[in-house]
Amino acid sequence: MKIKFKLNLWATIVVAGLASMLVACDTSTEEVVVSAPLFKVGQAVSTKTPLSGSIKGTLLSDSTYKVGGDVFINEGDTLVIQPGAKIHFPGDKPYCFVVKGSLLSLGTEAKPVYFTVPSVAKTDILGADPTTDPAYKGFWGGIYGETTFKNIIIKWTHLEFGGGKLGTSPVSYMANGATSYVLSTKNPDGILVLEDSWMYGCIDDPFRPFGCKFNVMRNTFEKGGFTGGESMNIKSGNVGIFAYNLIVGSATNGPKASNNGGVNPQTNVQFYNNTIIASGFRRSSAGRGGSINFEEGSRGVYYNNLMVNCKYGPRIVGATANYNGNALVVADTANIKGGYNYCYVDSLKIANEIYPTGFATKPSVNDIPAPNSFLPATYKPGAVYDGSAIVGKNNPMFVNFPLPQTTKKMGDVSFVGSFNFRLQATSPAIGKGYTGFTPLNVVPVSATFGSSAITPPNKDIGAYPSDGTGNKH
Amino acid sequence: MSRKYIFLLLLSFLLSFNAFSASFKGKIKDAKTNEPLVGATILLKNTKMGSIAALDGSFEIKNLAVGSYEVVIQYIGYEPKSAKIEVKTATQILLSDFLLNEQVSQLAETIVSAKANGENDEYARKTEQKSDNVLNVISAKTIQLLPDITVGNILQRVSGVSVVRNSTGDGQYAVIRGMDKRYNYTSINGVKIPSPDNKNRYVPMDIFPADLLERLEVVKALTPNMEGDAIGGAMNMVMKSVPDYLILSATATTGYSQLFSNQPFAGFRTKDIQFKSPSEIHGNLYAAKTTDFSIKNLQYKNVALPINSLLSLSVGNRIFNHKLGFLLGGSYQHTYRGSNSSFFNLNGQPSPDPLPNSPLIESVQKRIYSNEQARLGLNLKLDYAFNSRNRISLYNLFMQLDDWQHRHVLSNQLTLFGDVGNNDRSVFRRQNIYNSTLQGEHTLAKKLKFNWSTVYSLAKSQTPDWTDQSVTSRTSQGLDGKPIESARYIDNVSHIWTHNEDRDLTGYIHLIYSYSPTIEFSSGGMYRDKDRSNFYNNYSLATVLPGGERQIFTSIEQTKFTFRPESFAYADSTNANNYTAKEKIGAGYLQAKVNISDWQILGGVRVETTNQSYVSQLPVTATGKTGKISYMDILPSLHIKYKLSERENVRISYFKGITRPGYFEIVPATFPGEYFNESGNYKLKHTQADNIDLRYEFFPRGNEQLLLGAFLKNIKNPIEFGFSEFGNSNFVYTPLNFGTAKNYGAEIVFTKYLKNWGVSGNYTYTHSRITTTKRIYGRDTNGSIVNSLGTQTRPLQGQSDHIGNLSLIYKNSQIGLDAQLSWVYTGKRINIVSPYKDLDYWQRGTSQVDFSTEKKFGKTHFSAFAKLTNLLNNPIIVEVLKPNTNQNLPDQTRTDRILVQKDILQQSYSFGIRYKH
Repeated sequence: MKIKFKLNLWATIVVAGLASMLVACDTSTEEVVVSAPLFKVGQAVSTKTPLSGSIKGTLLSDSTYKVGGDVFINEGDTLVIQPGAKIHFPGDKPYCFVVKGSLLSLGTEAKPVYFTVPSVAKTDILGADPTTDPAYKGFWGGIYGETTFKNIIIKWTHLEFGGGKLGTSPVSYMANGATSYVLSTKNPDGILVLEDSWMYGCIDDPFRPFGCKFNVMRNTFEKGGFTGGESMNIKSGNVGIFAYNLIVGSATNGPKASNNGGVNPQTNVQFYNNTIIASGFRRSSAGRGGSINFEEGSRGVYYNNLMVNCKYGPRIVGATANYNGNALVVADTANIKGGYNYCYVDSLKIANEIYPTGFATKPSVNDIPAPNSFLPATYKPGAVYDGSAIVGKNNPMFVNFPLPQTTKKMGDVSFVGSFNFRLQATSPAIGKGYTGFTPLNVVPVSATFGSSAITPPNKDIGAYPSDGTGNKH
Repeated sequence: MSRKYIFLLLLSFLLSFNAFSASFKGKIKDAKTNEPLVGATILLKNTKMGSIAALDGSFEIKNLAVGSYEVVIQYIGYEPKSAKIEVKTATQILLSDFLLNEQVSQLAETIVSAKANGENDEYARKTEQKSDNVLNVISAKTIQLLPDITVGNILQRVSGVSVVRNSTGDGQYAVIRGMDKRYNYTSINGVKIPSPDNKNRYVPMDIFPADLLERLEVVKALTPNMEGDAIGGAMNMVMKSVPDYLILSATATTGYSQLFSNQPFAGFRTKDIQFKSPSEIHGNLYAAKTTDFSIKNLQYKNVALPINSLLSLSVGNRIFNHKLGFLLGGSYQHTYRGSNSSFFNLNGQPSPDPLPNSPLIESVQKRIYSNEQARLGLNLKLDYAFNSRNRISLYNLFMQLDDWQHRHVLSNQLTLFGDVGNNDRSVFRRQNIYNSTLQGEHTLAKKLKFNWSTVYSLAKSQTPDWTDQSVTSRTSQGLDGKPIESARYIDNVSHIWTHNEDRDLTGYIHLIYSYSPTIEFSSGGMYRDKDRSNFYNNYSLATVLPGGERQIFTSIEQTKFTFRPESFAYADSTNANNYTAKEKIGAGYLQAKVNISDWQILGGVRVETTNQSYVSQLPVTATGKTGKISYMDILPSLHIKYKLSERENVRISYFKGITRPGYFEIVPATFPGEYFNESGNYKLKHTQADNIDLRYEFFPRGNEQLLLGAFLKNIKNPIEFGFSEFGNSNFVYTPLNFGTAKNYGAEIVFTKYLKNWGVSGNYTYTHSRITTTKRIYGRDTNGSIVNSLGTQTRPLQGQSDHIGNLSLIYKNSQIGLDAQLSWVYTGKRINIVSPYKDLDYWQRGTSQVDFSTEKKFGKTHFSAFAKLTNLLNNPIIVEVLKPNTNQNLPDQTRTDRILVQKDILQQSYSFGIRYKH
């Protein structure tokens, strides 16, 4: 991907190496520009012994570390991972990083950090059999913020092939033998930043927080969940933003918010400017959603999301007059707002579900396609309608993703590969977004102990607005 | 139909009382005690006329012709008597009472009564009257006539006791005076037995067949020589004892349940079942193959009208010059049980709207249970008397309950649109209790006796290959608004193996020193070593097809299984349910008993030390992977009995009792749940209680009684589940101690006979209160949803304010007919304590009516009996006491409460033949 020299908002996190490339002016006094040292805490961790047990200090840039056991970052301790460091899991043991203090994985665009399994290769083939795809096997555990964790800051980091079946669980809130998440937390006061990173594969949810303040921006989620799983499955005690993320082929939803879990505060989330492609098709039991979901007491907003060939449009579980037999519990519908969402569909079956039948999603006049172009005047949320008028309409005009979709099945697309989900200049998604709400600023802005910036909503729909402030992948 | 039948039967009894001719009436009594001699014979010499004394000792000989007769009165153990009577007119009624004198035979008093009458009501009443402490006794004679085939069901007939039922409606655990199962213990012949439960101490009482018992005692006040860990009471099963002469009895019974005349019994076979999981056979590193798993237990076969069969046999004698006595009892019960249940599943988290903690009905299910049960009980008592001073006995007990349970669940019965699942679950469970006790009784010196027991017990439970299978379809709405049903897909199938055992070695010693005829000192102790282990293994077989497609269900035989992901082929050998526990308990006591004129004072102190330990599956990095907890209790008690008269006692007693936490309750293993995580708690304290009892007893005649009692319990550190905060806004649902709970109540027990008719009953009022922390899910002033904690004061789980029994009894020894109509009432009580404030599950007050009768065939050793249970077929209803806005749903008839469960059990009938020599 091309490096863009946009130094306005992003200057604070520009890699130090770039500074030295600036040419000094030809004056009599030397103007010296040298690189700042990489952020480091405590002692450097040796690459000689495999990572295992309690560790603090710094994993050095460009070094490769093998993991030989569960890794613990104790309360009050910090582990920093410098750009270009690689953390290699053996693949045969579900090792976890258990964070009781702070973990900062500070990759850069030029030098991302890797949490991966070197012995496993990605097999990204359209329509490949998920039952044999290593993405859904889980070769390590996950990164867990314990009930005391302070910071989990993950920037420009690849999290691949995690989410396996645990043995003896090193995490207080995970059962022995449970299926792991790749990233999880359980402290409503902990700070979680996931930026510009990649989550690839998982048996269940790649990311399931049980409590944190979060800012999740500009990430790419691929192949999340084998026969069920959300890219980010948010339980009670979580407040934050999920924006500018690209989700391809999630088993169920992209982000899902619920207030179950019994932790305060109430789940309050902002889902905006995400692009969600072909999600919801690997869910083994039917009808649990396939793009964005609000259920059981959760609140928040959803604006400017672009959904292409997802099994369901945004779904709000609401009070229905008749008992409908579905074990889904009412969201905090009075406190959910949304609109300006964009659905493109290639089949009638999913065209009939962009406002899912039986649920409470309210069409907004600013949605694309325009509700009045296909919904009857008497339409009530949850009613059955005929979506044939919208099949193949409103092509969002991606730079490289053929629409109508040419794969045999919608769910055959589960990775980015050579696709490019940026919008062409003529895209009907441009200029249709809503910027009239304030982002939830719940995490600090910092190059190390926080988010690089809280990017507000954009006037364009999707994760790749034309002004370049969105997803950088 | 059945109610009509009872009516006819009752009518026929009434018709048997009519006479308009000369008759001879009177009562036969003990000359010394004036007690009626039930069953004494009165014969008119040289005629075929005669009678047998009824329950109140009365007799009547009817249709006498004018003339003179010689009357002979006989009763075992009494000197016979004869008299002359003369009938002068055809309408004359002659009245005469007879007093018989006991035969003078110098066997020790207690032994005689034990041997001769241990199984009858008179002995049971005597035990209650003569005992040092407060207890209730049900005799084998009473049990024989009860419709209950297991001890679990008999318990509900005891004053102050109600039962917690299993899924087929049979009593499983006892709640004694409002104290739930954890506060009570079970013993056999006074020796405490271990439990096959995987986590707890309490013993499931439905394991024990009723017909092995000589009597059932419920001890409500502990003496220092008894184990001290009961607050509600101790249930002691006294098994049939060694007789002095040959006895032989046998019964054969058959029957059926009305439930299966309306619907087929759908059972399964376990022929191919592996008792060990693949990982146990091949090791934890073994990747299981789908061929390692049987589908036999998912192949259900319908049986149209399954017939129950029950057999029992007991034989005993004293041989080798009366030195060696033996009794062998055996019971085998093969029964088909079941229930139909409507189940309204409440969501694990209530709604914050319109009010905090508003219950949400998540799904409506119909659950159909088909249980096949095989219950085997063997009981062997041997005793050898070396001489009059030394006797040893060996007691062996083996109990086995096999239960094949098929639960068929039709979920979301009312689904208009959404997922509809049908689930079948096959659980085969084998529970065993084995006990071997070697006991010695020695008279060391004239005033000094020494008793000892060494006990080996083993309790086991095995659930091999517990299998769950479900099929899901989706109903969606078509464009025309009509429902469209999708194909039916088979979900992942799980196979679980569990087994656990409790090995218990215990030794008891007692020294009894009779300082004088009125003063007795005793001292002794016990030591127990317990070793428990628990195994749990779970496999989930995937049904996803290559390509990721769901598999359409045709039949279980056609289903293709895989392990996806492959790591699921490995056993979850680290599952938190795997743990081991050990316990060592030592105890010693000093006790004195003093009789001064009409006073009996028994008092003393017991000291118990507890050392409990566990090894869990927690990681070494966690707190509490292993744990040891030890403590010592000093348990004083005082029991005062004042004899108001020969037939009246007043008792007052105090004892201190404890309840130890369950073996798994102290293990801090975490079980993550959707709404809260559950965990054990090693900080849990044991419960201590001060108990005061007051009782007035009146025994007007041998088998009659009137007991009036009151009790008060002050319970320190009762154990209940509640929320404990362990991190920032992180709570765990865990067993906790909640201050002090109070429990008080009163009971009345009565039995009254009039000729051949008797009425017996009991009633207990209980009032307990405990305050615990509970969750409130509501909104704050800003309208945000918030979890908060509040407290709720409520009765203890399982405590009913009102429980009672009433029986109408007819006994006619002359025609050999016994009959009993029994009514049991269990008042409303909390079945399940909710983690949420005011959302507890309450069982509505229920009545059960049973009828049983037995008829002896003339002078033969044979009799026939019939037992009809649950005649009213009253459903068991469980409710949440919150406003109900779901009247559109079936069974939701009330606006003030939400029905969450309704079990229909239907009647069951059995008929049998008894042989008694």
